[in-house]
Amino acid sequence: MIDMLSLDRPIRMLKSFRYGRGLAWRLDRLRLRLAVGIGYGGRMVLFLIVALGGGYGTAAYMASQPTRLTAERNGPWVAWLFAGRPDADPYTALRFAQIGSLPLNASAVLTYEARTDSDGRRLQSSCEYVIEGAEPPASWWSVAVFDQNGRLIPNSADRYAFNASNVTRGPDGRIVITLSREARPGNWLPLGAGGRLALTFTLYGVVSEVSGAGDPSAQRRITLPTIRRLACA
Amino acid sequence: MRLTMTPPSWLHGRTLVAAVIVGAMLHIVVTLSAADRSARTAFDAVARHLPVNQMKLLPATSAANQLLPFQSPDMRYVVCRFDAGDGSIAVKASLPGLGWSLSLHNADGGNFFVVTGQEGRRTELALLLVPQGDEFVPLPREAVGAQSMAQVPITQREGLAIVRGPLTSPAYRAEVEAELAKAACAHRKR
Repeated sequence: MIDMLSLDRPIRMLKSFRYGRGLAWRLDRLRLRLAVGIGYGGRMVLFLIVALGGGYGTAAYMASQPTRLTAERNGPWVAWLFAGRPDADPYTALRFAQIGSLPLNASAVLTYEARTDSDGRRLQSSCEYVIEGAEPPASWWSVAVFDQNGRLIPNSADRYAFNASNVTRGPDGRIVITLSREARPGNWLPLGAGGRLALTFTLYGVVSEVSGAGDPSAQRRITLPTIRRLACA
Repeated sequence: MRLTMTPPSWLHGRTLVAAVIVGAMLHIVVTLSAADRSARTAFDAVARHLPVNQMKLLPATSAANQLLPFQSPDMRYVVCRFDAGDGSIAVKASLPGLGWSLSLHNADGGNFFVVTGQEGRRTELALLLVPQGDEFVPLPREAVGAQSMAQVPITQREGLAIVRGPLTSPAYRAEVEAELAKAACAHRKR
């Protein structure tokens, strides 16, 4: 017996006021109809939650989150292995269609993206970071900083990226790039007031040096620089 | 008389199974249709600034001047919005070194052809973008004699040819722009 609607009391009250059995019976029947309706409605709500949430939700998740099917993780860096390819899987195609970018074919130019530091914390423009490590095994590379929507962050230095041609290397050949709001010596990328950040690391010619296109094991062998948080305002 | 009725179970198995099946179908439809609907976003954003079948140098990328999300800020771009509806498209470009590239994109953003510059040598490219069914159109005379030449079949009538030149510092901007100015894009009538 459904007891979802507490109409017993008003029904008893109605009876006690001698409004007649006919009216009480009708109210009882109305209560049941409401209860059954809500029961069926509940099933419909459940159906809609599972169907719509599952359908839309999983599609949105697969297009926004890298999975083993679509992407390769390398520390904090993530590369969508079929980016830009005309034969890209539907999730990769959906992702880049929604972003509205024109990525180069990942089989020729591999673009990694980082939204967290090496400890898994979200990149924020209020913090200071260091990208450091050995140069990647690529014929040419570029590191750029964007806000979380891929827009460049205004800054007085009008500087948004470093690449293999203009970065200053350390005596041991390693690269150290500092990201902060305040000016820093060496390779400094200004952050401005961008909120959450996204970094891109674009590698030209890396696939031919390591292995075939789209081979996940090849990507794993690449050692990319780490992203270390120094401090936050 | 008191009416009673056995209520439907909220966690009815058949409801869940049906919901999962409908959800799976919805997942497929949403994934494919959303990708299709928004596929031309990037093409349209670029194409509305460009003449048809001509190379155009885009302004230097900056926070105030950014056409596309995640557009590399240390590149200068020269772009041709091609339309091969009435014949093939001849594309010429010179890639003087590392970091340079020529890429061809469908209107849905797919990058079906890309060449990257090589260290220590200049790569001269002369391509003929040929619509499906026109593959036997001979190469244009001016393309003959170039170091690299190729007929590139295209499956979509519209697309973009993009030449990227890396900006190592503002001092090299004029040099990079001069190289990009050598890129050409022209329509060849049937």
